[in-house]
Amino acid sequence: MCALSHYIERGSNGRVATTGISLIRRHPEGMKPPRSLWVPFPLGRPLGSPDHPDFQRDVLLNALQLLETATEPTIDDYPQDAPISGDDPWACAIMVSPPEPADETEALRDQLVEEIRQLAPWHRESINRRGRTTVGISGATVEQMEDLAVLLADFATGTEPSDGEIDWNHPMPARLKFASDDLRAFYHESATAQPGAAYPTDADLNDWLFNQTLLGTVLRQIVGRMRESEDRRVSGMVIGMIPAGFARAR
Amino acid sequence: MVRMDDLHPDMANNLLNLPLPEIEPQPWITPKPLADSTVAIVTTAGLHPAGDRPFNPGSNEYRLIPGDIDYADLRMSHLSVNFDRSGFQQDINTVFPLERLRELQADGAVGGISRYHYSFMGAQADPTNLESTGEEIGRLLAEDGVDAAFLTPV
Repeated sequence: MCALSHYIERGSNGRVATTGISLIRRHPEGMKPPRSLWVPFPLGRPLGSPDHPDFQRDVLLNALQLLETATEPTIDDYPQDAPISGDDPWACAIMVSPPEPADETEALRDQLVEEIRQLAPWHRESINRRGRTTVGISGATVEQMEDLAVLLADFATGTEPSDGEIDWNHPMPARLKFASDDLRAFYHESATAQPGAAYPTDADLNDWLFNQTLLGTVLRQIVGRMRESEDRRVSGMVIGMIPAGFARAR
Repeated sequence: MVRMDDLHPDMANNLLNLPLPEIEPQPWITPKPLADSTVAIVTTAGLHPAGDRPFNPGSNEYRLIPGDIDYADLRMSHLSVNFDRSGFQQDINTVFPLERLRELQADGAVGGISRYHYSFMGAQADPTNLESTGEEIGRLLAEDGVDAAFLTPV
């Protein structure tokens, strides 16, 4: 981000000024972009918290106002933490009751598909509430989540995955990463669709998905196989599969 | 909040050891007043319209996001799994604050909004990888009459 500030201003030949948000203060300290607002928010939430428009607007305005106030490379610190919704810790109300994962491909497919079917009504609720989904980067539609489950179950049990019906956006092994991202988005959107529920943090959702669902167990099995692969494209994709701290079951 | 103690040690180590290249500073730009400025958003969240090509890991490409995009048509194909995606999943403005920018324009705080916004893949092992495409965006923004770019990471 800091490097981009320099490159955009240079490419514009002095016609476009840049300002922006920084999440890691060391980065603007080292690369000295013209204007930067450091914010004390979690990675992935540069504007603070979802569904807090007044707060988001204030963060944005603070960054934009540096265009009028800064006269030399400047880092301002945003003074407030991101607002937290609700006083109680989040707990997912959807009980998916993960079974012991089967070793045999067909059985694991069935188990994972069953878990997805349990979540599907909540995902429909999510789409009704939000009017959208972020699922789809693998090429699969929301209606094809069960096909993604088949791909992951096949790889987890050592079966050569077939192309199936999905119009994939990526070849293997990137396909595994984006199939995993789509299923995680489907699970997250389902788990946060409950009306009135407090918003979970990313750690809450990762703890739920990787310690309380079959998908989490299957993703760990997949990562284990990827690590053993002699194909460096496969072993190298491991970093895009499971967040740091969740590679082992709790 | 992002303070190093709050991050997983592997993640904190990666962020602290990211190379920070010295880039020769440009002549200082004194922008127009904000109320007279046209503003674009540039994000490194790996966003793109649903029908557009997803990013490949390490790509230095950019994607065009039309100013009238429907949020239902935005997707994120970022490589990293080590940042919060739930904020984006619940409210796109947590990452890409186009609706907030429209409100600032309606209030008169911002003069105008660019016809196009731009997205890159973040998590670059070497930030200088974005030099050529970053400069290209600078040219495109200037030719489109944009006065200021608001840059936001994830």
